[in-house]
Amino acid sequence: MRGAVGLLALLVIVAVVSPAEAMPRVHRPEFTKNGDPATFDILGGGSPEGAWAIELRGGYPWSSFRGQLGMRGGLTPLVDLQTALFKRWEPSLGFSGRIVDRPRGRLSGELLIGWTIETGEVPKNGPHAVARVRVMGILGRVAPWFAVATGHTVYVDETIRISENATETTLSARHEWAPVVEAGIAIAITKHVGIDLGFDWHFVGAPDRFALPGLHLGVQVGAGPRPPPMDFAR
Amino acid sequence: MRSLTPLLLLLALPACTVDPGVEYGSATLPLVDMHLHTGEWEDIPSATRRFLAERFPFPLGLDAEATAASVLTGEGVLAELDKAGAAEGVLFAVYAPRSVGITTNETVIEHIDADPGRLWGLASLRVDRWRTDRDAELAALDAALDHPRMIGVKLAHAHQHFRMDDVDYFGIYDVAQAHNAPVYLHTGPSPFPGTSQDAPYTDPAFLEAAITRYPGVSFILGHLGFDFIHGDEGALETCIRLAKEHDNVFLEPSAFGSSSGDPDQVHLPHALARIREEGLVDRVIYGSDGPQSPGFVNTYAERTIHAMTEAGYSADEARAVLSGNFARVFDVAPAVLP
Repeated sequence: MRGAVGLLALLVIVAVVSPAEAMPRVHRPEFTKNGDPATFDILGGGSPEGAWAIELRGGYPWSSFRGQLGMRGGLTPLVDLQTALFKRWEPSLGFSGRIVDRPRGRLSGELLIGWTIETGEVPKNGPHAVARVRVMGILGRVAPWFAVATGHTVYVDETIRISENATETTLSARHEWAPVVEAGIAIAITKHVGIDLGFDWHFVGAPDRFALPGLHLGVQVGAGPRPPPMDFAR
Repeated sequence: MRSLTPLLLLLALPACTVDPGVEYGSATLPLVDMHLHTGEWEDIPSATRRFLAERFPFPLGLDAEATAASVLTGEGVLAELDKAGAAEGVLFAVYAPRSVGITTNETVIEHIDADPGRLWGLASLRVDRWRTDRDAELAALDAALDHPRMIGVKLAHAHQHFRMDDVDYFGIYDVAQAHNAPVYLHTGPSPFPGTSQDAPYTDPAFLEAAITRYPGVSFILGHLGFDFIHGDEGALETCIRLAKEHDNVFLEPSAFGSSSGDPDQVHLPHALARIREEGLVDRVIYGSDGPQSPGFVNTYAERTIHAMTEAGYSADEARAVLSGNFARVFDVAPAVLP
């Protein structure tokens, strides 16, 4: 955990302290001077207006699909589907946006709402909401990234009590907390295709329940207008 | 994916096999875990299966049956013992169809065969049709105890729904006495669905009539009367009193010192300290109540060692708790380090 905090701190420093004179369009390293790779949009958060990107991620125990499309004003709607062992499903809709955008790094936030469906020995389902912060350092084609999220699901239990004279139904709600820590290395193979390798730790049922950490491999694809940063365009 | 899960578990879990024995200060001591469960997932009532699945580390509970299968077989138990550095373990037969399920004597014997040099068994019997089946059940218990590795009897009045002081069931102790077989008894309120929580089923004070009537039978008070419902020490002092007043009473501190039951590591150190204060260290027999989930057997041993250290146990006292008292009470050869 201490290592994860250290990595987060390093990435935040890289993202925030690097030169900011070119705002709002920023000077990118040579590889990205004609626009950021789609891989960095998915894992760093946010997309330029009109650009789209998708990611397919496979791993244990979590696999996922994500798609996002940049809109005017920096807002990026996204669709997200996560599954653990194909027995717990978390489809979500939301949006992300870049909070800090620097040549060597990026800080973004995202909010999602959706529905959790769990099968298996204890079937359950209910609405959920997720807030996530992403930090990415950009080193040419390679970009280490880190994300933390807090997920909240509400399950509604129905209890039916059948007595001699009546049937009584009561509803009660349970809250499940699922903080998530993720990190990885993104590699932009081209502007449109990239991969990432990382770990993810979904603490489903925290703090009462222990969770195993996971590993994943992701493939990102994207296209669309990616205008070069302003200082390259001059 | 199910076939891949054990492999991925091996990658994900930090455990792996350790050298036999556990470190206690500068000493390396043999470890015997006298409280282990085996059996089949489908023989557990659905409410208890859900209870257990919710307590497996995520995501193991999503495929609880596969997870249980990986630790509940004889081979699975041996793997968990290896992780803990334990030399031997004792598997429990259970006949509690309305609460925690059924693990037959035959199943226990079958799993003991995975390594008959390291595994022992405690036999049990059904009591839910006692009026009609009593003689047949006692005969079956008697036959199970004829097996050389079946060295004791397991009872759980709370899970099996019969009073601790009901003399109609004292024939069980006659069978145990005939085989010189210690009797392990669950004490204290239990978290499992379908449990009888009232005092005559959970309070070890209600065992005193049997303890007094059968001085030749060793009574092992499981969980030290811990109240798993309220998370407090429950009948600990009653257990200590019974051990002080009766030479045939022994104490087993399993389950309540787990990371979920005792997150701040308060209850287990306190219980072991009280036992030591009362001069009862030679009555304590270590058990974990595993395997529960992968790694639990090892973790519980570590927490018990921590608790004994906190309570000021010497290496000799720790050796007695971890293996010596078991060998003496069950009249088996002491576990030794290779």
